[in-house]
Amino acid sequence: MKRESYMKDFYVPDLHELLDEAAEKFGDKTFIKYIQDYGIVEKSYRQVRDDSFALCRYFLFNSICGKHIAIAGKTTYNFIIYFFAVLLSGNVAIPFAPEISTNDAVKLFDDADIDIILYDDTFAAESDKIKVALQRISKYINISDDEAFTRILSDFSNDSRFASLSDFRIDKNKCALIIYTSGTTGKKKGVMLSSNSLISNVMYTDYCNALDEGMVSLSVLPMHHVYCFSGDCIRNLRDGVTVCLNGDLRNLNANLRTFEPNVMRVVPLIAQSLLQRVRNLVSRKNNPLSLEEAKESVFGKNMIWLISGGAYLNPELVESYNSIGIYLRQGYGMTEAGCRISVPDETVSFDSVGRVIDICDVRTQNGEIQVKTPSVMIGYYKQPEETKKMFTPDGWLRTGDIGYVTEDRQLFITGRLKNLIILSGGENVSPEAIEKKFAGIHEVSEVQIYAENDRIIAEIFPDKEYCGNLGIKDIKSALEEKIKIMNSSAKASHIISELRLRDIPFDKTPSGKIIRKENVVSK
Amino acid sequence: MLENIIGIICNYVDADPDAITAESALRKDIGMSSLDMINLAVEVEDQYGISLPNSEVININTVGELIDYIEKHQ
Repeated sequence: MKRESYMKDFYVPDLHELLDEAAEKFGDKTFIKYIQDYGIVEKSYRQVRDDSFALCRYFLFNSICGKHIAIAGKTTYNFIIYFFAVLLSGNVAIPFAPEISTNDAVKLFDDADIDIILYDDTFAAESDKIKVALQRISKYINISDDEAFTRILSDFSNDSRFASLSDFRIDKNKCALIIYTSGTTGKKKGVMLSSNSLISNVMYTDYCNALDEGMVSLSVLPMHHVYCFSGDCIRNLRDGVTVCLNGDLRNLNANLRTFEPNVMRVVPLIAQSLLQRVRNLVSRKNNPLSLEEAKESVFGKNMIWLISGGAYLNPELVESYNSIGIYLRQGYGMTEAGCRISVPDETVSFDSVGRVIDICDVRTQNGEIQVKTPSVMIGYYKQPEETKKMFTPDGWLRTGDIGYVTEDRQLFITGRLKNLIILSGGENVSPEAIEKKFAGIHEVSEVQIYAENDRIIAEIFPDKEYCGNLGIKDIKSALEEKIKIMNSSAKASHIISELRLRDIPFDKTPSGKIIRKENVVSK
Repeated sequence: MLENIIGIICNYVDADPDAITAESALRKDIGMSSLDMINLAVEVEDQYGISLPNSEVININTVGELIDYIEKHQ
């Protein structure tokens, strides 16, 4: 369907409508599937709807409406139903990483004005530190308590005297979610998204051929990322795609061979490590497998697509996946845009970040990608000044990324605006563009490009184990040789003048991004 | 091999390695769930170069039976 005609009839349902439609359309087919104890549990679209509505009634019966509810835990069935119920009952969900330290949790709960905490055994919610520091928290609900969960579902079922409570409808434009983003610098900011932002973001026309009715996806990424939640839970609910829950990353191999999914949303690191497993099986000394056998052993028989996001995807990795017959492509977005800005399909070029979704308009201003989309955030929670900075005077959201968009709506990102090095001659150098060139150099573990006195410096933490295996003794000379080759085909402004080696890795942000040095352009 | 198998098992379940013997039952004694068993199968396949499908691993009861299986299929 053409974008124009698609947008003409554009309507954004809420979660209540989506659950009803899915229960109607897909009924007893399996929506959620997971391994428990000694078997596989399957929950149908109808059951998911009924359970979510029951829990929604429980919240409303207990006057839990309009509250700020923090939610953390492994991706389980209970987690998803609780999350759905929070949204259905007009509360604000604040998902967060269960690995968070108690101190950070106290700060975050305080900033987000949390009333209730939903947690499982991965997070010590009831620690005294939290209780003492945050006395406004009125209720702690352990979502992994199966007995309580089952009791609520039965007490508040469709047949109960509370049935009509779930007729409650939310205001689609009000804040329904606050997602805290760490960013690469500064203070955490809570991105406020409405039901309309969350759901409109997944209401674009189909892109890759692995997300059709009857397909099976494996949910691997943590649900506190809105990308994972809206993709695995909401988009799949709409399209009739079965979602298998991986739970813990260390169970990935077991879940892959048990569920044999068609599609998986991943980060590049997961794609990289799965490919490494295929390679190990092919090259092992005992009974090496053929490439086809190894692929089947790692991914099962049915894998078609890995959709990557969250970090730079090396085109070499994309090509390696192509050679084993699996599409690996990346999308692009930011929480502030309701998350997706572009999504991949089979036809996009290897180094693009996908095609801009139907609902989103894109422009570039001074190189920066800016977007206008119905899924845009309401703003940062309690930070109107910070919110203002994110928008242009004419209302476009600044992504802070440099790039361009082609006529067929493919998006290309070349760097971060705030990292841009402006040399004294006025040339703009994107350090990421140079750093990407190191992706294929296995001697390099981490690299950072920055400017000092108008000169481009490459600071490298080498992969000593790799160099050792190759018998490279003088790592610096070896790398200097590589840089020489790189420089010979580089633009004058992109020539690396100096190599600095490090003994220890770079300092990183909590999300694992290297903390950048400041650029010193001239003295 | 016994020691190595016990090592793999302890990666997936919270068990005392010294208490595990060839006679230990994977589910009853060590408390492995089906997910743990499949994880174990994947790891055994990778390390020993054999094939141990899900349908086979569920028929294995003890650590000793697992070792027999590996030896027979290597």
